[in-house]
Amino acid sequence: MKKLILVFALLNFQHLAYAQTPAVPVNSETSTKLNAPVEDQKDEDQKEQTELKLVTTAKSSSEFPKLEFKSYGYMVFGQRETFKTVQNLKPIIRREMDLAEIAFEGEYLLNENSKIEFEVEIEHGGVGTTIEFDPFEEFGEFESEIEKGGEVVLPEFYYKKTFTKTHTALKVGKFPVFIALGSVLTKPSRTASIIASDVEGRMIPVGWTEMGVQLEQKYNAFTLRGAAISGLNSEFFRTYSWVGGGYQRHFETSNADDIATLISLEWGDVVKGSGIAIGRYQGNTTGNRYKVDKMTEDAVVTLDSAMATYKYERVGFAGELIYGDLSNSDIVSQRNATLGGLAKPKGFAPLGHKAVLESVQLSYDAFEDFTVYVKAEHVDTFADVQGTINKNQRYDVSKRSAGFVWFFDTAAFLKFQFLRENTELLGLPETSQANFAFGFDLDRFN
Amino acid sequence: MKTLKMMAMAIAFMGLTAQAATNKEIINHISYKVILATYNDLATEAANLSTAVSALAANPTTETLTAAQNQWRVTRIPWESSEAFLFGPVDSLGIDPMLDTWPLNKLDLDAVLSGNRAISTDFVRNLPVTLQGFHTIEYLLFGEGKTSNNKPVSSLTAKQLEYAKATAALLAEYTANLANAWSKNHDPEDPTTPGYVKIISQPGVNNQIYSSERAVMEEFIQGMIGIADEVANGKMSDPMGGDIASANMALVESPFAWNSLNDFSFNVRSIYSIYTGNYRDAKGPGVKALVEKVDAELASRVEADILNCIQLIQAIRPAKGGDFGQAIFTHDGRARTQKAIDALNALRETLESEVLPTLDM
Repeated sequence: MKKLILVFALLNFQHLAYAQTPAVPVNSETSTKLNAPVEDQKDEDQKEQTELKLVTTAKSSSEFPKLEFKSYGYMVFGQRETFKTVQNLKPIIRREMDLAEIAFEGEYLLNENSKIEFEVEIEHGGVGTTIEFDPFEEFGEFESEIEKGGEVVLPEFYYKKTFTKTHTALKVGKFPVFIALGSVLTKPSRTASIIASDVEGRMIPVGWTEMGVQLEQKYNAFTLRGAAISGLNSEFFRTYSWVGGGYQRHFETSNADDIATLISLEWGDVVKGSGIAIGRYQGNTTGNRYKVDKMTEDAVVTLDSAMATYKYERVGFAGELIYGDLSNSDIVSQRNATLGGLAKPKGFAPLGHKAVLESVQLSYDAFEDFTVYVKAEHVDTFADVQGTINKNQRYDVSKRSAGFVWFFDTAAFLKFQFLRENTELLGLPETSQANFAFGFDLDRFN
Repeated sequence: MKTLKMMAMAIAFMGLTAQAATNKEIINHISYKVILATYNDLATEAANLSTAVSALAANPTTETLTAAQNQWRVTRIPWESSEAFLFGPVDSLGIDPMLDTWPLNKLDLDAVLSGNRAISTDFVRNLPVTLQGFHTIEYLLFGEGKTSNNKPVSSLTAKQLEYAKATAALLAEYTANLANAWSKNHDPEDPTTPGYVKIISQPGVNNQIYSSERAVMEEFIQGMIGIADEVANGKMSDPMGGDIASANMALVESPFAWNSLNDFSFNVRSIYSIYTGNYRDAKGPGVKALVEKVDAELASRVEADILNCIQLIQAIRPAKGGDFGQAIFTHDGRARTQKAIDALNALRETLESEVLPTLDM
């Protein structure tokens, strides 16, 4: 019977998706309140208070824990110009389709002041594996084969305890690194462009979340965050993504010999389009290398960022500035160049000492549910170099894009983006790219 | 009479097997007299190339340029002759891409040469591998390679000479490391490890890489299969494209020196060396001795096929001059190339389906 109920619940996915789903029937008053749109949610405090109120109301007829569940996802159809080889610079057009991401977000409300938040993402259609029997192996062997690319990941999973009297909150687990727009504006409805930033992936981890502990203190409109989180591993720093590849996702466990610190101060709410924040990430990466004796010098990553999102009537603004510094970048490059096996970087060992990223997006609500935007971004991961590393102009990249987002249904959208990219490398032609994204974001029901 | 015949055959067979080399002898010979000897030759010739390029940089004349060009071609021989055994340190230490990545990234190279940074071996070491190794030196010594492979010495700039000198010195360093890894210490991070030649020539239960002689023999045969496939379906087939209109000079290996056909020939020569055990003055036994024990006709046929592939590759050379890069833009050159590709694929098929299974017989 339990199984039948579960199947029924899954068939009613859409209802489940945006409504709080009580474990036992609730009275009609509670139900109405739970499904009603929550307006004027200006900041996290207000949201939490609303949640607590709802939970308190529901408590009269049900028990904790309670589950809230949402979802978003999108697919991308695009074409881009690329080159046949490094010696053939006449751009050719390639077209692509990608089931980019489907995310399931959940909250287990444990009591009035604590909850567990998690998010499961299926990216690029997930992965597929199969087992086959190979009779030609020495004694006959079962082999597991990866059939297709993609990921199923758990980017967020944390326990959050709120101390309402002191406006303090504690997070333990895996949560977003509050340092870049791409890490916090993950929901499609939060940004007009298809993803918050098209250049972050060239410098830092994309959709960056880390394991650790974070303390948040609110004071009026300000929120101060301090966190100790899992650090990066410099063995996987690469020319094309700077410290982004150092995100420890390659193995089941993360090396935690070097812990990073994260501090940020936010005014308003960046996620909801009404805030400004500054932040600093700092962490040594040498201790997290697998080959413990290959590099003994420190390789400290420091990121200073400022980001802002603001909406004034029909005009919206989103922007960020990130300065990065990698100490002993020349030594990291040398040590990485001679790594073996799968970690071997081949031609992508050289690293810049300093990196910079700038991003500005302006949007305008032309009609109800129809927003146009323009965006300009720049990233240079060889802004400065150390030792005998060459300052590679190929990685000084500018992107300019324009497009629109149209929510043709309450939570379903169509996004378009036309983008032009050029580098400072003399002789490398500018390339263009056009993408359509089609998807949904059930957060829009709130 | 029939019994007598059978007895004679049995005696002949016993004689053959009595004379046939053991797997241990085959492995020992190939490891020391073919592989190690090839890498030692490579290190020696790369050091000579560094000397020749330094002489060119110090005194750029037509003579020193020709000497450096000739030495570049000579150094290519042991390298291309090693491609049937791209296992061990050349792979684990990541040396292959540092020596021989192609195509050359001319755009980035031009950017580096137009910069104001001092060129040194360490500077080149920290550049992407597409800006290092044989083909970077080749481009600097021979020029564009489209219509000619004779670069006038007057066109060599001081910066190009500096760059060629640093890159050649680095190539010599890498090849010396490779020879050292095979002869003395296969893991530079652990000085107690022996040379890889010892690892591969002493298989057994205590050997962490090769637990049996069979495993080593399979490594040899798989190496031959791998390079036969790469020459046919990578090095030759990819630049050919589907038709003349899609032929792509940018994918040709060694296009500046017009050395592609020699590269391919020596790649197949490396198959021959592993198969017969013949390298320079050293003569067998090679994998052929193993095959002979099972099927003498197959053993001879494979040797003939290997030699035929080399001949077919050399036959691609255009009569009016040029090399592989020019041949693929002519109908008859493409036909000759296709013939060589077919022969190489047939050889690969034979190695896979007939030679490899002899390990289990």
